Amino acid sequence: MAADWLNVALAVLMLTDLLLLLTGKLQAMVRLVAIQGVMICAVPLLTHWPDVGWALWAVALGNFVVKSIGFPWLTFWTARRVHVRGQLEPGANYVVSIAAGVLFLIASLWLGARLEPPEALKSSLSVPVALLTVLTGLFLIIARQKALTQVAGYLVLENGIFTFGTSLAWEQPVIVEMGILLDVFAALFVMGITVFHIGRTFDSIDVAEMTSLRDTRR
Amino acid sequence: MTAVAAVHIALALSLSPLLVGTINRTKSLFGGRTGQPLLQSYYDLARLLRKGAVYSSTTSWIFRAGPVAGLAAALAALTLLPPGGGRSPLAFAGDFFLFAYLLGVIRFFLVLAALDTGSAFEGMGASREVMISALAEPAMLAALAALAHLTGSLSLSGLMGGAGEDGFIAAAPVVLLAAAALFGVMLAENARIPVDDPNTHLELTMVHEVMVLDHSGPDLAYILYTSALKIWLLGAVTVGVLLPLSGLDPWASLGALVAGLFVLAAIVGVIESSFARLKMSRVPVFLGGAAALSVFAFIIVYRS
Repeated sequence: MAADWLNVALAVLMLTDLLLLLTGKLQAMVRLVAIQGVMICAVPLLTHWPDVGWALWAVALGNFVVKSIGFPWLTFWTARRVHVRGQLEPGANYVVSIAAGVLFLIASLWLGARLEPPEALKSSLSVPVALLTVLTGLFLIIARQKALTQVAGYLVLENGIFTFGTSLAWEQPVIVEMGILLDVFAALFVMGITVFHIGRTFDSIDVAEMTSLRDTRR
Repeated sequence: MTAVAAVHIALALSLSPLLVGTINRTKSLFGGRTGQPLLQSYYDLARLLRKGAVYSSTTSWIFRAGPVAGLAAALAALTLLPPGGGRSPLAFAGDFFLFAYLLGVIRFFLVLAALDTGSAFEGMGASREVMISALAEPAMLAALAALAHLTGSLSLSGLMGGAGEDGFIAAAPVVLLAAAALFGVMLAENARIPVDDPNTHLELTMVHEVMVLDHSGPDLAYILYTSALKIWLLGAVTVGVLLPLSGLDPWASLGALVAGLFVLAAIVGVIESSFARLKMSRVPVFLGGAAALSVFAFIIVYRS
């Protein structure tokens, strides 16, 4: 039963990956990352169900707090302070993004089938979906023009790595996960503050405009 | 034909205008208005049927045939639609292609009738409608193909809820992706937000509405009724795919299907209240996204 629900969680994760590539609104993107955060904590719990120790609960809840509560709050706070327009101007257009999404899925399914897990996995989808999430995150970092969306892309990337790690590792690597979570937390904080300052200094958080270090905009 | 199938067709014929009413009522609730009565669509149909039709002298028989042919195609498609988990009266292997193309026939005659008037605006609406449906069709067929591969059935009756009760959650990735794609197609085909706005009355922005500007009286009533039936047809496919109907007792599954349809109508109302319409240039992206979801579903089902 837990394996079936694991499939559902992975399916929602996959769906959010594709919607992240499609969406043209910052708000929608942040909400999708928050939904991913919820799925991300469901995946390790369902993978190791029913022997879930306190440590796994702690990792899952920590993820939930950082990614589903902390990140949206921080983003909306920064967006309000630096007056970001909600509309995103993608560096790669949406048709390319969709095509990239399909290619990523094919690539991750192919790669997932070739990797030999140390033991039988609970769901054949965990590795492909994790890889898809990693690739989606990387693509978002490259293809979206705002500093805030790059933070979102970084989080998506981290979500993928987290899924990959927790579905493969049997000995729940609590220390490692906690360390990563702390990194993510610190990184989010730093990025939020940086974006805020960038917004103050440049009047824009469009990364394309940061190449010119002048006071006036081109 | 089984009793359940007969009751389903009777329900579809009688309740589909109520779906439109439900959507409108939800929108008024969100807008803080009381809104039109739930049965307004029925009153509109009754009023239009009592009136006479006006025909322009530049139109030919195609203009008069359009609404009737569209309604006939919608009724034919209805006989292919399974009542919940059971079998449809005319089920056969491969009938989902016929279903998709009957929807195409409805649109084809509507477009022909619009072009027949010679009006520039109607021609523009027709061209947009054809563009939208040309993009929606691959998404729909790919989603149905993925489901056919999943359920091992080539009939719409097997596809809907074919994963059954126990297999349902295990098949969730495919079912979720396909249902999301079908929902997008349903919004596009029924000219709802975010693809088209049924409330707009500016010729330059209308797609579906502009095509029926020259129809009047009973002809317009047929068109309105056909579009209500179309919501039922595509909505039932979406709901049927999403809910594990085939595990239920036939009557219970019919009840679940109808209840699901009204929930879906309310969701459409919520979407229409909370989203803006997309720019025309973004519509291909929306439908391309739906197609990508279908392709996702297909790749996953093909691999496992």
